[in-house]
Amino acid sequence: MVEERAFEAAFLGRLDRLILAVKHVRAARAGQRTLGRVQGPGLELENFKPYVQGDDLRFLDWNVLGRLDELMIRTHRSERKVEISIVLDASASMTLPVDDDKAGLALALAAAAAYIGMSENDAVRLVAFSQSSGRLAFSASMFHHRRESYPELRPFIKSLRFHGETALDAGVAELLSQRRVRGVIVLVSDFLVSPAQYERALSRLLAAGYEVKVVHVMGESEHSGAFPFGAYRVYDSETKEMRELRLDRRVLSAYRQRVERLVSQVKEFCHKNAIAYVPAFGAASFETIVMQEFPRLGLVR
Amino acid sequence: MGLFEPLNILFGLSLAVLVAVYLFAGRQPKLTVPSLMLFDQIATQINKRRFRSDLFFWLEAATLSALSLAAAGLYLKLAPTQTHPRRWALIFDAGAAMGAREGSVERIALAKRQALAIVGGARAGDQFSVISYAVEAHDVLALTSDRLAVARAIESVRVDDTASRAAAFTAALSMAREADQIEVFAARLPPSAALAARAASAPVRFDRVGSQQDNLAIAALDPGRPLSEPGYCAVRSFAAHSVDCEVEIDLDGRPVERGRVTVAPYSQAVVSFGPLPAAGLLRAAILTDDALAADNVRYAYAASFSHRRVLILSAEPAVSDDLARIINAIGPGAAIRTADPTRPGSSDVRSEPVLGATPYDLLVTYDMPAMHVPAAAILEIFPRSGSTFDVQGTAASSELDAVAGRGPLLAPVALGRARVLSVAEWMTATASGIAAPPLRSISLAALGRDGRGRVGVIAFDVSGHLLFDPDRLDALTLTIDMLKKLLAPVGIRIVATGARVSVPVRAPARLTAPDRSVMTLSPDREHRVSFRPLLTGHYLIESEGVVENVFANYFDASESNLTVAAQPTREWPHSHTQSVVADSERVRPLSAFLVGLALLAFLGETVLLAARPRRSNLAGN
Repeated sequence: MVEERAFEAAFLGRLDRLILAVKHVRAARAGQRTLGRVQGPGLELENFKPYVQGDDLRFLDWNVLGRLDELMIRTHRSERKVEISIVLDASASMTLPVDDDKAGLALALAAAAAYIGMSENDAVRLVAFSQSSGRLAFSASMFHHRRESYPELRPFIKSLRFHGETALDAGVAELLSQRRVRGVIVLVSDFLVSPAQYERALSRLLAAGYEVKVVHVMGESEHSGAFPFGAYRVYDSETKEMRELRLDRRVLSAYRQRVERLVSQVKEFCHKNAIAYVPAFGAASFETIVMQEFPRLGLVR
Repeated sequence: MGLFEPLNILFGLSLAVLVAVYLFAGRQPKLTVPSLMLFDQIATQINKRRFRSDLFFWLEAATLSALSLAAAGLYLKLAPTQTHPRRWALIFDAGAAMGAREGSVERIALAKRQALAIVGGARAGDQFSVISYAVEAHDVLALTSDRLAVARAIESVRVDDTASRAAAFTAALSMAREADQIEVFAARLPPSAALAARAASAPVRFDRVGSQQDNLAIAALDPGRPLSEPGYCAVRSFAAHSVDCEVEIDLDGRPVERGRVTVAPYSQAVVSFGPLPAAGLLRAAILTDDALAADNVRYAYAASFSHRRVLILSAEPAVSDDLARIINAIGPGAAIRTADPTRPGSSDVRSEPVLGATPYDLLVTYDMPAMHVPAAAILEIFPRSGSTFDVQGTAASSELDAVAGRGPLLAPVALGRARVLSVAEWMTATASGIAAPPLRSISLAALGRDGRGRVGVIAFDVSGHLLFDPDRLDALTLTIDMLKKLLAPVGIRIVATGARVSVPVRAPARLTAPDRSVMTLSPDREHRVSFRPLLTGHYLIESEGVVENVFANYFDASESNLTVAAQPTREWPHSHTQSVVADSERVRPLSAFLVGLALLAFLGETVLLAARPRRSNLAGN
């Protein structure tokens, strides 16, 4: 299972240099100060550096100038308070095709994103939801602030069960009803719902002031349409609807076009709304996605 | 057609299994995808038909169908050819119930009408045989196409006042073995009729005759004892409602009792009378009109022993005492004298004036040679050499095995010593057994009539109170029966209809039946004439110096119950094998053809399967 790799020490070591890209940070209130790794305005002295043109003269260390006659700038650690929710689509479609280990890939990506978030001492939690028989199954882990508590996410990941239908609408509504402070939401899903549904869900999150990032997960064979030829009774994993289809070259070509259209639709919507969009197609390229695609597409920096 | 028999239905279900196998094989495999929305705008032409039949399916279906039909015994029914005349057997039940009146006519007349209708509707050239059965089966007319003779034979069928026996019905079916169709005319059939009909050589059709009728019958008549004990007459009703009945009883033609009695449904009422003033022939009759007349009259003989004289000669006082007690029980009031002729000083019974004046009614001797004492009847028990019989020796032990009229006993009765004697030709053995040593079969009792009158013999030793041994009651009953027959009045007999009656005569006898018909009977080798009274009433046998009056009674609880079969008609088709033999021109079995068809289909499939890989190889090359 791919999600196990998200807890390997070597992999986590490579994640140490990544920082979740957060555009809008909120200063911590008194008593809730959280120090980030990034330099920025704050009271906590971090280091000294030679003055270069353009530095803010307010941070010039006048004592050093007086004693050593050198222009030195004091740098500080930023003080911020960001809540990061990694939201996982836990519907049945995430488990198929079985050989693709799509669910494992989604869990691994969510765990990696959580680890990156924790490295900045931000409050990070995992959220999963699906809908079965009209009832929303919503589960969330505790908020974790430090990397040391990262392994505590493992039982939550292990206990997740993928079943039911995708319920982006209902899941987002439940998330917003919890009245948390605005923060960052990383949505990991296959988006196998109508465009109207995911657009509505993402729009509600944006409207609520959240910074949203999307990880679009698909299986390798699912994305490439590598199904064996023949006549099948094809069942929908979520609705259990059945259609009799004869899969051949023509049909699979049409299928691939349909997949590309889905991907482009999601991507286009994200770009229009300044949402970071990361396609994650295939569990085999998990590390590549995290180490290269996440920074490239603005999820981390 | 036996297609709907459970086993054949199971055979037929093999076709359903074949279809199910093909249906299952025709289903498409299942494929689960994350979402069907990715296939939304994809239209594929897929064959919706689940059941895909090919040549193999039809060959296999043909094989199974042919085998199932062959197992079910499919046959082709062909129209009978006009050139082959049909043979009919018309079987009539001639039991007493067929004499019951249905309005103004008797059931037998209705049966004859039905039979004549069948004869009238038959094709020209068809042959008919006429058979009747009651106590026995009678071949009234052999197969003939002479319609006039058939009609005469049908008209000649007469009803007997006896019950119809199942064995006679089976024998009648056996007589009809050459027929193609058997028609049985009866009110109802014996319980085992279905079994017998199925075993018949041709299809049997039962034609019900008549309807439910009420009936009264005299079930029993006991004369009691003249001047001492009253008698009774039992009247039985076979009606679903209470019936008023008038009963008349007379003695030698003189009225004794006449009265009315109400009999409850399906029950019995008793009319008491007497004691009778004298001995004589007693007759009871139901005067109320009912459907069946044969069981409305019954005869009995009221015997009186007050003037009967019996002499018992025995050297053993115990034996004399036992015999005297038995005779006294049979005929109370009879004068019984015992004597021991071997005793020194005893007077010779033959010289006694009182004994010689009039002959005894019965002389009983025990373990002694013949005594020349004048007597109307003689019973010799354990006779010695020099008696009426040829005594060949004495067996140390013997067993009573069979008694006439009762058949073999359930367990042999050990009797002790017995004389081995040869019974005269004019006597009839009434009991037999085994004697030892040496082990041989012997007659233990016999009865007959010679010039002296009635003579009986009992071969076993009755000493040691054997007749009162509770473990040997069969010996006592045998002795009582013998004494009763010897003490019975001379020249008169009361019998049941259907029983065989033998009368000793020296010359041809003239028999006058109750219907006033007269016939002459010739005596057999043993100087006896025999006949079977089949009508209720008085039979008179007259020969040189011999006049015998036989009164025949009829009552049978099942036959007098005039119910009829529930179904008006019923048919028993003969078994398939028999039909093939007897009716090959009408029914043609298709089993062989169907099996051949199945084999062809099987071979066809094999050829196709064998050719398939060869074709594919050629195509590959």
